[in-house]
Amino acid sequence: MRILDESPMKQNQPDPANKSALAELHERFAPGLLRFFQRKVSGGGLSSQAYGDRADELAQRTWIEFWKALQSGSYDPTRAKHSTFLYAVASIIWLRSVREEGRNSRIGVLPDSDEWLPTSQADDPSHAADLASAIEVIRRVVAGSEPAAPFGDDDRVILRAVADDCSEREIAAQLGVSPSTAHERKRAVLARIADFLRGKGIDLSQNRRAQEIPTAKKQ
Amino acid sequence: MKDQEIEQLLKMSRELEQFERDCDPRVVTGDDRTANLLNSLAVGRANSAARMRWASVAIAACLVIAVIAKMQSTPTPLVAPETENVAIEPTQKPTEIQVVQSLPVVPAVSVTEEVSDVKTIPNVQVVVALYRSDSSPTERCPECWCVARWSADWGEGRSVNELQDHELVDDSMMHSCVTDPKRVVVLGLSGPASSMPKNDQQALDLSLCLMGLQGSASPQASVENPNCTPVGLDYCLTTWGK
Repeated sequence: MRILDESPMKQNQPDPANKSALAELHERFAPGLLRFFQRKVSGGGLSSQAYGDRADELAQRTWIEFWKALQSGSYDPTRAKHSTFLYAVASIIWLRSVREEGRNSRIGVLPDSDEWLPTSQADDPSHAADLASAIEVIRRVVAGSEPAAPFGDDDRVILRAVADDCSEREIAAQLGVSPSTAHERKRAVLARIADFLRGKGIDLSQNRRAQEIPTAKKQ
Repeated sequence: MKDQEIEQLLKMSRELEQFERDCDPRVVTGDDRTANLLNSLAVGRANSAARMRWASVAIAACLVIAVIAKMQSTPTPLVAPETENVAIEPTQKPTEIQVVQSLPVVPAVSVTEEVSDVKTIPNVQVVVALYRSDSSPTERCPECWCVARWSADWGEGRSVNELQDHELVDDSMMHSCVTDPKRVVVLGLSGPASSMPKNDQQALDLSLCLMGLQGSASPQASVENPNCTPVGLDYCLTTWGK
């Protein structure tokens, strides 16, 4: 099946081959997608019965958006793997649901939901492709497999530590430097990775500004 | 892009790894409930040493808390050190005797001798456990916890203060409502049923309050538990996690 070889899917053609490919993708990723949402939902304090239903519903919504993205051609398989793209769609669906359902209820609301995703990606699943590309590049940088990435071993230690949600004190311990030095080095490497992403044409902030301008004009 | 956005992307790249592992059928087999349970048990075994240390410290803390709570709520036996032959009122709660036993500075030793055979028989026992599947630094986050609540029977009419170190922790492992919990808070309660939390929200608020996180709870929480004191309840709070 071509789609599983990460090659481009026939786009804008809901032919039997595409349906078959989607079915195969569904079979491959559905368990992980469901667990992804189960983890998210259960962390919100719902009962086991309630979170099972909600996880199912969110997974279905994700598949619908995923299918739409494939059909519209907004997903470029050369920039991100299917799993990464599906994860990006799922993340956006989750945040959107948190925002929709969480305003009036404490249960199921992430406290930092506004910052959980880059703001530009928060409301529109069509931005999943950009988000997936960014995650893919960052993942390769951290793994040291991104060609021409200007990051050394210490940089990757810092990036891995940030990914693991380590404090600056913990980063300092890993690097054998003072916390203030770790703070500065962390900021420097984050700035460099932002530059690196921009150099690859990925700037999620630009998407946000592009979104905000029409809104401002309307007002 | 802001540093914060880059940090979020980095964390998402790590979460993506977990997502892909979950997609691999060789990693997880069986239904979700079984997988969750096995996962919880595996985590529990792997952290047994750490849990035992936590539990030991927590039980010791519980004893201290119980002593302090009883001193504050029932000061009568403690403010009469001059009396050598204190008569025990029939209505006096057995737990008060335990408090006296635990206080080496209290001279009313004769009190404990006279009633040492009185058995503590609380009305009900309830365990509240809070689980987190992440290790986020945002501890002050009432919404991040999955709440589980169940009635417990520790046998022989034992109250929460009579439990072995590991019993609360083991109980919590069997009731996990998240996959691979990173942090668990377990609150054991003994006392009248009317004083127990009536729902998960009350249980959550009480637990967070006892953990010293009441400032982060909802406005309702501060109303429901203004003093963070479970009236008439004995309790033991312990935590474990990665």
